Amino acid sequence: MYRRTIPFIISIVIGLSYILSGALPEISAWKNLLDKWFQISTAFAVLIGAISLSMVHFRNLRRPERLIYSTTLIIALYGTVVLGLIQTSKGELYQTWYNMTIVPLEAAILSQIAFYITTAAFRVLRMRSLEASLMLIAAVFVMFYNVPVGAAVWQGIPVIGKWLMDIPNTAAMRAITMGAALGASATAIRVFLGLERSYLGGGE
Amino acid sequence: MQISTSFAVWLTAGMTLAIYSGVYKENPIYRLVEHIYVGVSAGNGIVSTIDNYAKPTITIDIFQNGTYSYLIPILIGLLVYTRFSKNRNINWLNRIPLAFWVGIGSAVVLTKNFKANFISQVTATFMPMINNDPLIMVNNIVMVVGVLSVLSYFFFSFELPKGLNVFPKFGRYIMMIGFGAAYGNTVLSRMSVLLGRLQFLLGNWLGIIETRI
Amino acid sequence: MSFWEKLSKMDNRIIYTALLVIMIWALIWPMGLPIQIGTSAKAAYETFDSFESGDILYVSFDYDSAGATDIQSSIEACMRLVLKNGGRVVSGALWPIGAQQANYAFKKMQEEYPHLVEGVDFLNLGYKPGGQMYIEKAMDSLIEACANVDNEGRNLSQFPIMKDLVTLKDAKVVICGNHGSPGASEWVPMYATAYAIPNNKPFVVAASAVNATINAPFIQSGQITVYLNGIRAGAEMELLTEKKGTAVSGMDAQSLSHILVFVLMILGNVSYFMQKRESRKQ
Repeated sequence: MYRRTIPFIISIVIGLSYILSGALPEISAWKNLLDKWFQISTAFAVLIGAISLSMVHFRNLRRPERLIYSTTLIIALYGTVVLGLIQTSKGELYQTWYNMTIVPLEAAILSQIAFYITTAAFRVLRMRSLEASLMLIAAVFVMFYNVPVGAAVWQGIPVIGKWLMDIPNTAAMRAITMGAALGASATAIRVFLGLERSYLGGGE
Repeated sequence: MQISTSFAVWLTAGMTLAIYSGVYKENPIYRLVEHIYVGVSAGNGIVSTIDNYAKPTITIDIFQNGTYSYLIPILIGLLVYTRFSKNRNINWLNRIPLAFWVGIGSAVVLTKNFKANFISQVTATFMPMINNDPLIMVNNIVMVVGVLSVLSYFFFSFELPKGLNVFPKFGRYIMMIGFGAAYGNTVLSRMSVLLGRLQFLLGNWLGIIETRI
Repeated sequence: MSFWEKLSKMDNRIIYTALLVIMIWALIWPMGLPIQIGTSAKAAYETFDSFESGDILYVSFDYDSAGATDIQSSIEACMRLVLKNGGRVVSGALWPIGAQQANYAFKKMQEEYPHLVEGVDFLNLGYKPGGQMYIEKAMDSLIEACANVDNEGRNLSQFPIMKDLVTLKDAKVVICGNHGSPGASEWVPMYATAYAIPNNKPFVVAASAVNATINAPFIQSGQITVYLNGIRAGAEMELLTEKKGTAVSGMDAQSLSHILVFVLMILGNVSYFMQKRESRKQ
């Protein structure tokens, strides 16, 4: 029983006291302390992702077809951590390793989407219906609003592209943002009312 | 400009080309480099957090300044690792940090995010529908009707009576324009990332172009 | 198999090669298409050109190397304007890799303005965890939010610049370099809506273009005062600050790649409708 009750009480007491101290300047020190505590606690929980990742890849070591990849990942992960802890993240070797791996790989991996998005233009964006046609036309105007060739071809392109971004796009995204905000707030209220306890996990 | 003689630049170029080889065809080199990236990225996250935050919290805040109350959030953070314990009397303790974070997170949603993402948006939407400038008037009408229509599309999942169902329909059209705009911007963004890599390969590595005019 | 059917079954790798060829072509032999300066870039120029000696700009590098081509040029141009006017720049990062992007930017600024002294004219606070709670804490005490140290692990109390930047409220302007979350979605509620806008302070976002649609409602509502969208804004800012760089040199490649995407859209649709017509005839 206490295994769910204690965490539940903690979330209510911390959450409500945070709201109260934010509203009352006399006790704002409590909110400021909780802000700091939040930062510290997340910093000390940083290993959780790496542990989960390691568990998956240590298990993979038993599968011959995954052996080489999982070994590489484990060496890269622990090698980086050990090097960083010995040298600190400002060490020369660490910086070289970082600049040779993360910097190019992150950009290269994301830039693959440029190829896929180009093929999507050929294979997926079809004027099958009024909705699809609207989407395609908006895409074309916004695309050419963003690059110099649009204005070079016709001065009206950037004007229409900007209007599409500023008015219909803003209206659509605003409604979605408002819907998400309402959903998040309803969940927060449910947490404080004790109706939302899924974060406490299943079981006792 | 001439071709680079730096080992680091060659290795960086090699990493980039290894990733692009995967676009041509899935291959072991691509997968190997992909795994290196995941490992190094996770490792770097840990090193940065420890170096820039966890270590100075202990050495400066606690040992130097004597702020021993910070031991409490450290303990809260560390309790999250009890989830890996098989002992049921211990592993429930990982719910304590989660409860702490959910409590503060919910409070922030209600006190900060709701105002920014809902109240301010409502205020900004309802602008005067009558204006001397016809363009502003049209824009304001499209904005108000557009937002209400998209909201009605989400809220009324059932069939509305004839005449009223025009709102969700209009909302769908507005959303499609929004998604088209999203595609248009995504093209620019993703081409930029590719451009950055090509500028590196042609400039820093092969020395064919100047990366800085 | 008809021509249109053959076309629709074209190997994707032909499209990939075409994309690479036209982009490389434009990078090697740029056409120099004129770049129009938009209202946002002009607004950004005015905002940062108004900095006076001693004013502090806080830059949050909330992006990685993947977002750098889109964002870095804009941010560097803003920093350049501030430093040229005798202002000072302090940077932080909500992304671990953002701290390195800040280092690249400061290195470039030091090359352009060799008189700059670290800790006096600029400082990189580095990556700090907590996302929006970092912003909230920094509104109360920046030193506490940073656990007392800068990116190099040095005690912040030794730097003169930090004496004038006790909290984020002391910065004249905050820029968020936004490539995802944490980023503008955290800065808007915690800083812009809660503090900057009610106090008539600008809040600037330089974002990768992919974020333009989701950030649009906050621009229209005035929660984001100046919005620099992707590499296009970067190129405009480079032209305004008269320091042409990677953004300007990449715009022709951008134009050609966009034309290719457009041509493929047309071809895809023509082939779709022609095939539909052929099947109807049969």
